[in-house]
Amino acid sequence: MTSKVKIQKIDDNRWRIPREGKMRVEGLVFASEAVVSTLRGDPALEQVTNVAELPGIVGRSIAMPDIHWGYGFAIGGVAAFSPEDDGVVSPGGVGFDIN
Amino acid sequence: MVETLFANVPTGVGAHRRDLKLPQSELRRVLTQGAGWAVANGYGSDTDLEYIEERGCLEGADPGEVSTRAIERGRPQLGTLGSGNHFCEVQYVAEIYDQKFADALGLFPGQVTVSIHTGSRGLGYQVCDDFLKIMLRASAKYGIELPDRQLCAAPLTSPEAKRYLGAMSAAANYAFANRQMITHLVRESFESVLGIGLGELGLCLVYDVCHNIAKFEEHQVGGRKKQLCVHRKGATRAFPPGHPEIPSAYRAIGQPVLIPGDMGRYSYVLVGTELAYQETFGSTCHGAGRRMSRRQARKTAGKRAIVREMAEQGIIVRASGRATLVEEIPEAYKDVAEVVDVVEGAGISQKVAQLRPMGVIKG
Repeated sequence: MTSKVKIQKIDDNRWRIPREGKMRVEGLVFASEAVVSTLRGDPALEQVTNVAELPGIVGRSIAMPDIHWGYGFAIGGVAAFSPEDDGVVSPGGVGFDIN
Repeated sequence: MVETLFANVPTGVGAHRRDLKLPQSELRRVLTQGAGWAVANGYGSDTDLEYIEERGCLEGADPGEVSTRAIERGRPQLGTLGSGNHFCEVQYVAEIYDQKFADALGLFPGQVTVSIHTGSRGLGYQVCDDFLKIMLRASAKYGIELPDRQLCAAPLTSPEAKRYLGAMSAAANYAFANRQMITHLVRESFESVLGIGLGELGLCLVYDVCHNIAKFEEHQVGGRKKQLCVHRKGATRAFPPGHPEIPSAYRAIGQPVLIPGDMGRYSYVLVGTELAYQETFGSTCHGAGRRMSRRQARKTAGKRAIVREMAEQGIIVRASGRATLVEEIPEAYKDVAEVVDVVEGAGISQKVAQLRPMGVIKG
């Protein structure tokens, strides 16, 4: 599977996924060059942009350097939602191994 | 020591306790009280609670939203490690990166530490599974456009969200109680093997933190404070120095964050920073992250003698089956040092200590 996600370098440890299509916020990926090279084509990056489409997401859809594919949301993901702005809660954003 | 731990802490898929199958009514108390239930029942002390995220109990837990099936799965599994990436590891402090922070956490070179990684077991799994169905219907009901069905969700103000958060919090409390019980079993194992009491032994809890959770927290958004529902999935809370949620003993240094690596290399202790609070809603990484799928790892491991390979590196491994071990080979994971260097380099955490494994028990 080839990922179509565009990723731009901010500095040595941070990368931006610009807003595209239905994304409400941009993506922010914490990674080194070496980590990013392992992520190219990884469906986990698409999961970061998918989360950015959810209603009421605040700030950015965030990925940590240990990111990998998970159910719905990538494992290694952080997303905050505002109840005042139709924000949501999603079981996929927590996963099966709760806590 | 590893043999004793392996004998005392049940591991493996569907691991259960022969000695303890809680009645439903008692399990509901676990879901409401979390780690406090474990302490009240003789597992550890009140002091432990101070060093657990949320003092080991999420408010708003609603056992009434936890299905009978989930409760039945949870009854015999409290105080068990489970399988997959869950483990209990005996380690030593190999390196200190910040003396002042290490002193505050009570860590010093050569010190023996124990890390416990497990969660809400079958009960939490069932809660997630039950609510995915409910949330799929809710997404349609509230007209939420989903780029992927697996992202099914409900507005935070809806009854469905309230129900999920009630059940999820109950499962989280089960996880807090589970780890607290295992902490106690670990201490008992050390006492019996070394023949010394806890006073001499130490084994104080450094910290207990979640990494798969959604919680309401106050954060700055566009210059004003807002209550947000922060989802951390494979991500750890990393609150900055001075935050009121941090135990007072650590308030000057920031919240401790525990980052396990694979079973062959090393793990890290970090602390949260102000920048994490500003940039990531007070969050950081949670581990090494898989580099290979479980299937790839099984294929790579083939017929290799994993226990012997680890023993040759001086790491004693005991597991209830080969299935987990071949999926958990060290090379199935990224090098956690690389992961930790990124979060430190980005300023969202700060390294305090590196821990190296001596003995591991797994599912």
